[in-house]
Amino acid sequence: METLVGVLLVVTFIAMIAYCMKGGNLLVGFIVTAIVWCALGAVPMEKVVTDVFQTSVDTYGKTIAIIVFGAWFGRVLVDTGIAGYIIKKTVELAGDKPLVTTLLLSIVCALIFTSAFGVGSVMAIGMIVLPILFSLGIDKKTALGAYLLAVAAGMYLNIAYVNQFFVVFKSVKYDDNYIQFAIVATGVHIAAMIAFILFYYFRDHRNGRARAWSPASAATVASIKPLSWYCIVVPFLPIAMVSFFKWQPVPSFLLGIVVGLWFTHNLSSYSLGVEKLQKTLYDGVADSGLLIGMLYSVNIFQAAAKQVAPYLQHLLGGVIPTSPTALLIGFCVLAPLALFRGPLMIWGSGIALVTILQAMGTFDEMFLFALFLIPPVAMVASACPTQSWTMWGLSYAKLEPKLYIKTNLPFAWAALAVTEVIACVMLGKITL
Amino acid sequence: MGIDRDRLQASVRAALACPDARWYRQMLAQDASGCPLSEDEADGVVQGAMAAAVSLAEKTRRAFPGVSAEALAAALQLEIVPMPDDAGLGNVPLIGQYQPGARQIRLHEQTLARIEDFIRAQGLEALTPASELRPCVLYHEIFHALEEATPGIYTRSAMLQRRWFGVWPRRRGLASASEIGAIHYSRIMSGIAYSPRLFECYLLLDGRAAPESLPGEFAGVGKEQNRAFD
Repeated sequence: METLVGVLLVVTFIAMIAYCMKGGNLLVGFIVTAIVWCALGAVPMEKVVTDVFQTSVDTYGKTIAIIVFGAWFGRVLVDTGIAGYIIKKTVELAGDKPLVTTLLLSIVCALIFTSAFGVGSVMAIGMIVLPILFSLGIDKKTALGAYLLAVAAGMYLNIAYVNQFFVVFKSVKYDDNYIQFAIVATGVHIAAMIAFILFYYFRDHRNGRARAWSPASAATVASIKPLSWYCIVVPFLPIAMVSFFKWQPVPSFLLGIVVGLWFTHNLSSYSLGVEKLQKTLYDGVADSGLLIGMLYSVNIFQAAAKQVAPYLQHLLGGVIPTSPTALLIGFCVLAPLALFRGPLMIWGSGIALVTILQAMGTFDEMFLFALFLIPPVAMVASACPTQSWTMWGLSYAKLEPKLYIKTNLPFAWAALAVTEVIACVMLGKITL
Repeated sequence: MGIDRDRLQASVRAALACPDARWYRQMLAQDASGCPLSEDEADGVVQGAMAAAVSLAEKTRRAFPGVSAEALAAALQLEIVPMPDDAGLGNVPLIGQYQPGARQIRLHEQTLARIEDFIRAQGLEALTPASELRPCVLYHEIFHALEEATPGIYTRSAMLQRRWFGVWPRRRGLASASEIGAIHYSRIMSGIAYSPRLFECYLLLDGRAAPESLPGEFAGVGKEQNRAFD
């Protein structure tokens, strides 16, 4: 009987993978699978309505607060013109040299996204950056690929982003040990991004620069207003407060929000300040709303998976490797399985795999965190069309998803392999 | 919201009289990869780019007297090919493109058709004949090809003196200088009596219905333009 239930759970799990990979709505997919798993595992109704559907999301308040404040801060950076100003200044500094501008802009974007958060911020900044790169003759696949790699590079240090993982890995903290790792991982990702830019630039642009006649492509750039030079510190305020002054994330973001509004003269009157605060908060919440819904459904699914873990362990216990090194090698080799919300992507069907691995009790939580932290950044945010802002980017640049994957995947895969090893050594404390 | 044809035509008439330098100053202001310019610098870049275009046009006419845009492209061994429909970024399409590696002039046929249709639909044929668009685009891209083969040309030079972090001197160019040269060259070579940038404005106007989304540049050139969309 246990085997039969286990098989049925695996069948529904595979069905969910197929659903996720076909681009199905994750919120719906997770909740439906949670209900099906509870039914298959004959979980008592009281446990279903209490532990699975209530307690699981009850305990998620802290993370949601950080995500909301992070997205709010991202909106302040965009709406006050700080992000645009930094980008414009970078372009002015780089001159009209396409390669230098692409490299500098990508690095600056990576730094901005160590603090900015939310799909709205990625879109708003992309609408400034991509026309600049395009006007310099950088082809669309290189421009979009570099920009999305830059967005992903900032994620390891992004407090709001990393906090999502603490729902699944309860004992993990954004502490000095993590920050040390995140700085190294960001460096590796930026190195992969630079390699990407250099490779495609010298391959596709060696015969000169393409010139395109396009109407007012710089409309968004022209609208960037001049600000005071000291505004450039604002994006880095929250992360500095958390790293150096050991502040908690919410007050750090709040400080960034207030200073951002103050430096851009949006607090010059009470009514203007209130209006800006409300608008940026509203937009920030809207930016993060669907993500929060998806994360709630992940929690529900994970709670359901815990209820049926004994069946899965009974069936898969002997199949899944118990050696951390073997698991690490498996992740590096099979990395593309994270694409299309596959089984290595924690914010997709991978949440079931995490739950199974946690239920096995064989692996240290920090090791599993290290293992599952990398694919969403290095693989999905860098090379997968199912990432929300990537969908926007592909549509905006009118680029075929297949071409995007083909262009970015080799660099994303290399970044993943290197970062996985570093993560497992620095965070997971495994010895190779 | 529809377009008031009478008001649009009045705006286009106003725009026809707009001096070239004013169109080009707007291009400098909207250069995505540009930098702040003093009045003198902006004037210098506009005059320099226009002079480079005039010079190249004179050389072209001497070397290839009386040839059409297509024939000139062929004589320069430039291949004219259609551009994929999905070229362009966001809702801003491309008109044409020069690819130096392949020595290709790529024309976005859909975009050209859109502009031509707009001209006919809005009754602008008498002011800016649709038949003048294609040669104009070809000359624009031919200029880029000629630029490529003209070392030291002003439009590709580092004409501005700047400083790294306000300290170390450096020189930089402007992508918009090259575009100004191309626009001016296409105007001279095709012999049209108006700025080819009007075609850009048609394209933008065709894609937008609401008055608030009108391009500032066109509103600035034809002062009555904003009211044309009330």
